[in-house]
Amino acid sequence: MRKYMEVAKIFFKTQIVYRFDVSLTALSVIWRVMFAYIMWGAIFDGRETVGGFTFQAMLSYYVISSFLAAIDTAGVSGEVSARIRGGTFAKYMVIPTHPLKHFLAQTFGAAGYYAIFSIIAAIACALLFRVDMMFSENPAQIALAGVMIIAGTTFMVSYHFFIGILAFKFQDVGFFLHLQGSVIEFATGAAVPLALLPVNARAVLRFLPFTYVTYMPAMLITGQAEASEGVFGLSALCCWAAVMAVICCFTYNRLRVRFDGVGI
Amino acid sequence: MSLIHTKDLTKTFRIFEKEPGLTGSVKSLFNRKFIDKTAVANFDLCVEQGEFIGLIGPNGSGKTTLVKMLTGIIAPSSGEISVLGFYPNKLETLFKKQYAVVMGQKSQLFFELTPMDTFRLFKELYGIPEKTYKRNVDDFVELFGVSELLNVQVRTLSLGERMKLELIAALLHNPGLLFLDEPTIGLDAATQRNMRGFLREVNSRKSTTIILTSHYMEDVRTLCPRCVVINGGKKIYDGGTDSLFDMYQSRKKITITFGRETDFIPPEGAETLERSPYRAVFILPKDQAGKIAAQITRDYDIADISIEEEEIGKTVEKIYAAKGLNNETEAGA
Repeated sequence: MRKYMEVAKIFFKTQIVYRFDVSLTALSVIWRVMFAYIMWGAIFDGRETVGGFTFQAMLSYYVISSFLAAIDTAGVSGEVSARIRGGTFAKYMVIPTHPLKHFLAQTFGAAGYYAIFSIIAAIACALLFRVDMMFSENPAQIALAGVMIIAGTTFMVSYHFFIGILAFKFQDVGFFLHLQGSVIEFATGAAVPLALLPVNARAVLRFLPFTYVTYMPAMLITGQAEASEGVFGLSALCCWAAVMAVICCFTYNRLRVRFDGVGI
Repeated sequence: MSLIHTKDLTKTFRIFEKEPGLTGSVKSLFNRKFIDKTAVANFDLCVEQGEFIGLIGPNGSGKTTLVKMLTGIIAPSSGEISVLGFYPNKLETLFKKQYAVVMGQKSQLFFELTPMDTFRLFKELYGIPEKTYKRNVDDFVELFGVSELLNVQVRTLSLGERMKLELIAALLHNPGLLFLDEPTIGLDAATQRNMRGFLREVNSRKSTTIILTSHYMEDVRTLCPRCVVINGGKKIYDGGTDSLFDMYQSRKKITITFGRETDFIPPEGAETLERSPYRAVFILPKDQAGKIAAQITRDYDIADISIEEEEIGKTVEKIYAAKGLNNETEAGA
């Protein structure tokens, strides 16, 4: 465990090397909140609620979901497949770590960086611009959301790692990347609003992990979802994460023997 | 038991072959052609603890494939392989903790961070006890003379400085076996010489077994008592490095600067490289060099004379061109 903590730490450190980049990231997070403040202010325009959300709840949801969206798990599939094609994946094979856990740790390390900025942005906006955020007063809900974020990130990294290692067999995983993008768009309601789907389809989607990766934790933290929904989501997510991890390990062990390392 | 043992080790790659041009690309969609390329064929190798071995061969000869199989990066197609008692491609953690690999063109250091950050990471990855870690960092930093580079960004270092730090990172966990792939590539002559000194020191001080792959024959000649020549995936020589050079460095180059104008003609059988009234450069068989040089010194007014080994590059060309060297495997290794 300690070695993966160190991997996470080193990737956190790489994020904060350049002061200019760090300053711009901080400004962009604050700007995002201010932009949301202005945009949603215009949409609400004196109304108490929109779609069941109060103004504060909407802003809080926006800040949290944009932080969760900033956790770059999709990059894992691209990096893994490119390294396999280019031969540099060997780097992960000669050091005493499991590549999946290595990529998990590096994603958490980078996510820590964005988490800090999101928290700073939320505090800065609350103090400087009097933008009130709304968070759940139930610590159990916050804790549940925290665990859900970890499980969700674990699932998403495993999912993208799996797509990446398909490059051992297929070399180019462009089709799989496109396909998974479409699946996620559909399952999260980005392509078609989930409310428009038939009841049965929605019931099936409830068992898929994607809505519990971003949407549900943000709803729990802002107090917009019940803890019982969170418990169901977390259970589903943990099952998916465990299944995905097993699939990854099995596939990796089967396919890595095909690795030619590039060059003779 | 040998540290490395391979028998009939073979690796065959299946390579996609395509006709040139757009038509070839379209045709290949429907009728894909593959060719089998054997990168390493029936390779036998035994390496004992503490040896320093040079693995040499022209580009595409199979050296890198062999090293990749020994480190577990790729799986052999057939044959036996055992490294430190493990089957490398199982990639067991215990196995990976006992060796290190340094590739001149690939880096384990984090470019945006300092070398110490990477060392810290390696300490945790390899589970190095704090005391050993500190002692090794101090020892290697002193040996390589890099104390001032530890806290600067890796990307700002020169190639030579970076290579020294790559080596330190690889040696922190006291590996019993070290694979070096072109460690002096791109380095200037002085840095190459320094690097050779460090490697010799590591081999003798820690008894680390080192397998060195290099195109710089000087590396192999000065560091490795034993060398293995590989060409076309086959082992064509395994034995003493000096014996190999004795066998192929059969000629010497004589350079003479005359004190006054002469009509000097190089002796019969010599290959003339340069001739003018004041200077002559020629190559002749090693066993005649001393006698001829003495005779010239007697007969002419000599301002300067030098006798050198034949250019190492030429010797290497001859070695690589030979398909069936006297294999000393049975006798030497």
